[in-house]
Amino acid sequence: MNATTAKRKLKPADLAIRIGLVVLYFLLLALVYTRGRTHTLLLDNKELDGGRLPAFEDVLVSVNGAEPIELYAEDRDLVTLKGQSHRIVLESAADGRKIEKRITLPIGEDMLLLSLPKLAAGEEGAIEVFVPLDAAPPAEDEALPEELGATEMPAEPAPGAAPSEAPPAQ
Amino acid sequence: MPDLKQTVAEFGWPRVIIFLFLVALFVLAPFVGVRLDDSLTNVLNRFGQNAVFVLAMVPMIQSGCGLNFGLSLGIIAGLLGGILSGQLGLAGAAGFFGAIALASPFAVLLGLGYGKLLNKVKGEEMTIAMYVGFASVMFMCIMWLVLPFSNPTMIWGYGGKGLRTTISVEKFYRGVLNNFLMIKAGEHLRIPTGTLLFDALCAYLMWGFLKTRTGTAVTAVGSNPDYARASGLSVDRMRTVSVVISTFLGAVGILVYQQSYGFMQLYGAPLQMPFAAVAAILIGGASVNKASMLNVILGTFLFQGLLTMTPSVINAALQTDMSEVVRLIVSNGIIVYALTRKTRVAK
Amino acid sequence: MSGKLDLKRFLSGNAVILVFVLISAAAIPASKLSGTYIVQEMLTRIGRNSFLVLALLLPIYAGMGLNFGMTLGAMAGQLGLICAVNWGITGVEGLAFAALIGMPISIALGYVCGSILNKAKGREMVTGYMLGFFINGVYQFTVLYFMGMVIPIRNASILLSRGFGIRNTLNLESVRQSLDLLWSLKAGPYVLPMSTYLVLAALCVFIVWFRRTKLGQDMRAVGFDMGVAEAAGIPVDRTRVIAIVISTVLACFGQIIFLQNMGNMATYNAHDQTSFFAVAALLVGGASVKKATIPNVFIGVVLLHVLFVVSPRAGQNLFGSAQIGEYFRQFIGYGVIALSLVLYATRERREAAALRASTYGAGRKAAAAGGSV
Repeated sequence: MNATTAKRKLKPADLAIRIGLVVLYFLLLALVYTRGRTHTLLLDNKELDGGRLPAFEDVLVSVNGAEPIELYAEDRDLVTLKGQSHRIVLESAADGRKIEKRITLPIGEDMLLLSLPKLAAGEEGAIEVFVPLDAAPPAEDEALPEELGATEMPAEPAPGAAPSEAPPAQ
Repeated sequence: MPDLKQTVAEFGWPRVIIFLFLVALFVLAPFVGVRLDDSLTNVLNRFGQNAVFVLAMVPMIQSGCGLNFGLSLGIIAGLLGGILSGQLGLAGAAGFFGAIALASPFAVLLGLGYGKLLNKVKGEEMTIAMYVGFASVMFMCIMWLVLPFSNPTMIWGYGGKGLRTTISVEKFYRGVLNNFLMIKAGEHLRIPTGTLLFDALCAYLMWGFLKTRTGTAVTAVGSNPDYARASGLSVDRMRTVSVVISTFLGAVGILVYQQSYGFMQLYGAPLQMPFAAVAAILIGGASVNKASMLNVILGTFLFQGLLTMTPSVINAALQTDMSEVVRLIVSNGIIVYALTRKTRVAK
Repeated sequence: MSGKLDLKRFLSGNAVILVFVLISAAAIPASKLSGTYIVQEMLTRIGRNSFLVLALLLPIYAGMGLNFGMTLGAMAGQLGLICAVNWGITGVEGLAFAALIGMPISIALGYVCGSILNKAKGREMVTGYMLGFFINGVYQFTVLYFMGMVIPIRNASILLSRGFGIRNTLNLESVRQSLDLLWSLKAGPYVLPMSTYLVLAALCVFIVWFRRTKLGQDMRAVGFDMGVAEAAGIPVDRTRVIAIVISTVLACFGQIIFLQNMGNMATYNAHDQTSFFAVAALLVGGASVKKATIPNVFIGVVLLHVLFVVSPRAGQNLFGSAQIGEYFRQFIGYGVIALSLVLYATRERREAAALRASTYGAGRKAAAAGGSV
């Protein structure tokens, strides 16, 4: 080690740049996280509270101006949404009534349920967290021990093992 | 106390840790229901299988060619010998020694070519050896498919062309060494005396060779090429001799391995074998340019002990198979460690 | 003297590339694949692989040879992708998230790698190679046991059913080709992933710019002669570490780009062949251990991948076995690496010998002159 690699005094400007870079890093991380966070939203057209909020008989739901989805009473469908704030347009096929709402999804949740009647009535709690019943993963793709065995010490390609680049398949 | 400290420092901390780990595994074994005599049988078996490979590292390390990552060339020669012996229908001891005899010309020729090549690339031997080994293994993969062997136990049943991936040597030379004078002490403890004796013979011959004129010349060339050149030794010739011997031992090694393991493994199998041998001799205390018989024996025992004990003990204790990962980390870690030790690089 | 010698020098200087062109010229017609198909494959594969190959350049400038330790960066990229899938971040943002997570990991790994290579001067390549295996063990330990056990994983569908460890195959559907398709252009029968090409172009500009900075100049000085650089006051070890850190970070990004194009990831082996493909491509493109340029990268990627695309088919058509073509391309890949390392090492030694002879010769001549006077 010579003098140049030994303790070098950081100039204040350099220090500021470094701190700035670290801050920028976390800002970018946060930005990408919020913008890229993807949620599954279940659109639920079921009556609630024993008929107080009736289901739509036939409704067209368009999320962020996309092709509308048609839902009859007691129907449920799902959409995948990136980001947290979304515009939802409901159009009742029966009376042509159009409702436009903006919803905000909680960032930490993967799967949410949106009750359309509640949304239309403008009530609180139209969005709730949905926990699927069969949360357990399907039991496929479990060949782990063999797989690891195949990677033996120097993980070189085994003969006949699929090449990492797919061969031409046409 | 400083003596102990110095000894440990010379031996290298990683090796001490591996040694202690192995001791801990042996101590733990009975508590998790692993039979010690079973384990010992396994360790001895695997020691016998692999010792010759590890021994094959010695001449090239001594002559300054570094770690023989291209041991696969010797293994290929051995496989050819084994297959030819099977093709000729040799069996038993005749099969085994016939295979060695048939492998020899290939081993010598390949060793000569390999040695000539390594002489041209002094200073870069290890990386090149590795890729020469890989390329040859892949070339032989094509050959195993194309060569006109016809013994039905060796070729694919359908199509009648190309050698099988694994060939049983049951009918050829399985257990020729292992069963020779085998000691059966109790139900679980079996000592493969023949294989161990054969290993000992090889090690003795190597030890003897290193004491001969040629042997000392090989060592001299490795430890100080300039001095050796000045005193009239042909550096290139001595290096080639060491490479040929190493390649030949690789060929013998794979045959010893097969007779104990019971199968020939063709195609990609030889790709991985040199790394295990390299790791073993380094664990035994060898460096990139110095190795002894003690390093071979200790290293094979420690490495194979680790490979045998880790799966059985850790599986029994934790109910998970971590052995592959432990093996990856230990064997490659020790190689990296040895490569970063300060040694002169001969140009 | 000149004409013959020039031809010989040209042949030995470009032996690898020539051998490759010849083999490909023979294999393309034998494969009976259509030109359109091959061209489209190349357009895709340039986007998929070039970034990883470009990651090898800086350590070559710094005289550290081929950075087989790039595997470390690839593993960091994979950890980033696992995080992106785990947190449900999709699309280009998912890739950016993976890159941002992978970056600090690859900086740390690159620092470790660089420091270790500084202790193994003169055998950087083999050490880097073995280090890749070693870190592979650590990676497997982390992903197979720690994830789900120590590191919380919220997305149960990427875990093995035993409750910890990531599955063998990670489905990257959520980020699949999101970079390629951000802006892709249709030109005739071909689809061009323009956004990926733009990223590649940006990297090339970065490398060209970097060579001209003070640090880049230092790096080349270190690569030329460490002793001289040291004497000139360049912090040799530090410069070498920086070269490896940048290379590792680039390899991390490169692996993310590679995997987003593939669309799924073999969690435990996706990085196995990363350095093999990248190094083989660079060498096929005419680079050596000491000298590599950006054109080498692209020529190499195209030549190597033409052979990789056509050889299984050629093997099928010529020998009735695709397996032979498969082995053949691996043989060629390894063989090319071995051949160009050998050619380079021989040339280097010949030059060293010539230098030695000329100094000895000069000494002897001087002595003779002195004697005669």
